[in-house]
Order: sequence, then C-alpha cells, then structure tokens
Amino acid sequence: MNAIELSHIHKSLGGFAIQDLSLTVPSGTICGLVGENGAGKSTTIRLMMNALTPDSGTARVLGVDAASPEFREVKEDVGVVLDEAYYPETLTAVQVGRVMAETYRRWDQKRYEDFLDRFQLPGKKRFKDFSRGMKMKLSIAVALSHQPRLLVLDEATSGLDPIVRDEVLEIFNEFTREEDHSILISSHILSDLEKLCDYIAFLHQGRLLFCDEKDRLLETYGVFAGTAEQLESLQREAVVGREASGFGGVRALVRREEVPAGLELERASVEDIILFMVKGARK
Amino acid sequence: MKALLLKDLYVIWKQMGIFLVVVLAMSLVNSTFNCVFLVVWCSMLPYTSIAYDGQSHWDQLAAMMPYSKRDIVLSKYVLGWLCMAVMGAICTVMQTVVGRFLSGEATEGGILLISLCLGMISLAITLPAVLRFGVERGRMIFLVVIFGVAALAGIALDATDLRFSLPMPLEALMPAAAVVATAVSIPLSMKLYRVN
Repeated sequence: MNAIELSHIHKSLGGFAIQDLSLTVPSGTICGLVGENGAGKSTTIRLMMNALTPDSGTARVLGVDAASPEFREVKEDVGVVLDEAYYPETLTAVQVGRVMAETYRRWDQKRYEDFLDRFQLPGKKRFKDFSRGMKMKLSIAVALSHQPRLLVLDEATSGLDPIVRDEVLEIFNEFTREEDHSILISSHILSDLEKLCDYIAFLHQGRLLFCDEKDRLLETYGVFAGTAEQLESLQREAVVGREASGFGGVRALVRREEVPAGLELERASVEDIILFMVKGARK
Repeated sequence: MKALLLKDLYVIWKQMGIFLVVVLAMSLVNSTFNCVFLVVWCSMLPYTSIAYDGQSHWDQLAAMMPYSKRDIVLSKYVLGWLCMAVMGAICTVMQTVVGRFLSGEATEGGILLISLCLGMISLAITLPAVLRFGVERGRMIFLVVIFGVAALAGIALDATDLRFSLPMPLEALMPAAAVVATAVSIPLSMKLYRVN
C-alpha cells in the first residue's frame, strides 16, 4: 500500500499554482520534499491533508481519499508538524497535552511526558515564552504521542540546534522501523534529508520536477570539475547544470551514463543535485 | 469538540480572572443594565478565543487534526453559551445575595432570561462574519451589532410599557428569537467558515 498518493493535483492560489502534481510515497519509506521558498511544499501538505481543496486531482492518504468523510478517521493516524508550532500562545505544554488527550483517541500521555522530559521542555511555561526550537520540539512530541502511522513534517527540524536535530532525526528513523510507518518531510536542510530519506521529491515553482529513490539519484548523477573546454566536449544532454568555480574552472552536474566511462567525477550530494537542477531550470 | 472547548477555556482563562473582578464590582450595584451588560459581554468571549486562534494560526494546525468543521464552528457557539450561562448563574447569585443585603431587591428571573437571549442573538448575528473574516475584519460588524443590540435592549427593558404592546410577552418572544437566530446562524457559519 502507498502511504500517500497525489494524482494530477492542480490548485491555483492567486499568482501561484500547483500544477499537475502526482506524487507517491510507498508505505514504510521516508520521502523528502525539497524546494525553494514558495515552491509549494506547504501547499502540497495542506492539499494532502484536505486543509485545502484542490481545483482538480485527488489525494489519498493511507488508502483513503482525503476529500471523503472517512478522512477524519485517517487524521488519527497522521502526526503533523508544521513549519511553525501553531498552538495558542497562552497554553503550557501540560495544557497542550490535556487538549491533545481529548483530540486523539490513542493519545499516549506517558509517551508525551517522556518526550517532554527527553526534550527538556518545561510543563508550566507558557508557549509564547518558548524559543523556536522548544516550540518545534513540543510539536514533534505531540505528533509522536498519538501512535501515528504517518508523519508529515514541514520544516520540522528548522530552528533546532545540531545536537537536538540529530536526536530528532534518530527518533524519526526509529519511527520507520515499524514496517507500515512512513514519513513525508519537507526541509531546507538537505543534509538532513540525505541522511534520513529513501525518496527525494523536488518541487520547483509548483511543479514536481522529480520523485526518485535517493540512492538511484546519487548513482545517476556525478559532479564534474574541470575546465570549460573539457565540459564543452561532453554531450549537451549529459550536463544538467553548471557553475563557475573560480580560476577559470567550472563545476557541473552530469548524468553518469552519458559521459565517457573514464571521466573522473565527484560524488554528487542531494544538495548538489538540487542546486544544479534549480540553476539549470532558471537558464 | 471537548478538546476545542478545553483549549478555548485555557485561552480565555486569563480574561476570566479580570472578568470576575468586574463582575464582583458590578454586582454590588443591582440594575437591569448590569445583568444585560455582563451576560452580553460574555457572548464576546468566543471572539477573544478566535483572536488568539488567528494570532497563533491555530486554525491551520486544527485543519490537520481530527476535528470536523462542524466541531470547530459549534465549539465557538457552545463556548459563548457556556460563558453566558455561567455568568448568568454568577450574576443571579451575586445580585440576589448582595442585592438583597444592600438594597432589599433581587434581579428578576425574566431579566436574566432576556439577557441570555440577547447574548445568543448577538452571537448568532456576529459569529458567521467573524468566522469568515477573522476578528480584525469582523470587528466592525461586531461593534455595530453589539451597540445595536445593547441600545435596543436598553430601550425595550427600561420602557416596560413596551411589553404590553408586543404580540406576546418579551420573556416568550426573546427565547423564540434566540432559537431562530441560532438555527439560521449555525448553518451559515458552517458555510462561511474557512481556515484563515
């Protein structure tokens, strides 16, 4: 079964539009949603969760149509962390726990309290006095405390210091050890996605440029570093994007299959692939 | 809906502290105006909660949680009714005890009923617009309605002769008006509600 299936979704929002978005996240996997600011990542998440109604196309989450009345039940199985923790500012972590206990049928108060301890979150401090990192940690604690099968994380690791971020990524990894648990995570921190994800989906100006297995992406692309003349000698189709690297040199993202076998290429990171693709798309 | 009500009660709890002090102070003076004013003021508390929701973008998070649109909309009505009922009870107790002790008079039950109905009517009229446009933009509509309702209430209740010119007693007319206004308002709010 697929955890998420978006099929030919269109949505116009003033001057911006999600166009023909089709995306599949198989159950048991982690998919990283990448894109520039305003590429449509948060809109995609809202469409997926039926917080926005698409102009056309369908969204299915955990096998259920997001537009159907049954989808409310599915939300019990989805833990969501948005780019900001949108709890009312006057609430404390203890009060948030009580509200969530009345919200989710499978709320696990012990697990929530364990997360509060683990993240060193004060129970009685008002939410407005939390730092951004603390707010995100509280959101993560809530999302993980109602026994979800799918986590939807929109910039969930931003604002966290590197140590906590690493710990949170490990928690997400632990979460997917259950074979029917899946994650969709959007992030600007591409190194996090490279560490965590099985799939990478790249949104650019409301269009999905690709969604592929991370390992296959890393095998498909390499980084060429050399002179402009050397680069010109390669097939035009081999070069995805290029940039000047100083001293007359040039760096380029190339398709390994389309360059001569002996050509030495550096390993491309997910960040290289995305950055070169954005630059390529702008040209 | 219990979760949403609990959240709203936590949010307005601080307001309630100030509110209770005002109630205690106003209860020392027994008057029709105080009773109407306090109960109708309570009908405004859902707007405080909606303002906090808007400020924190809670509605965006709520849209991701297993709350139905019906729960979200109804919870604001129920919050208003609850606050008015509690205030009505406090008002009655305070004005009965303190009023009798100080002035030898107690608030009539009919006045309390009319106050509750006025609160329900003002909530029913203003909530659809506030749920649609948010508190900031809905405020103008809200102010016009509240002042209108308060002015009409003052005229109607102080000019007691009016009761005799109505087709039915005010105590019967007002609950009917409150029920009709609420019955129209809830479906309208459901239609107009959107995540801001």
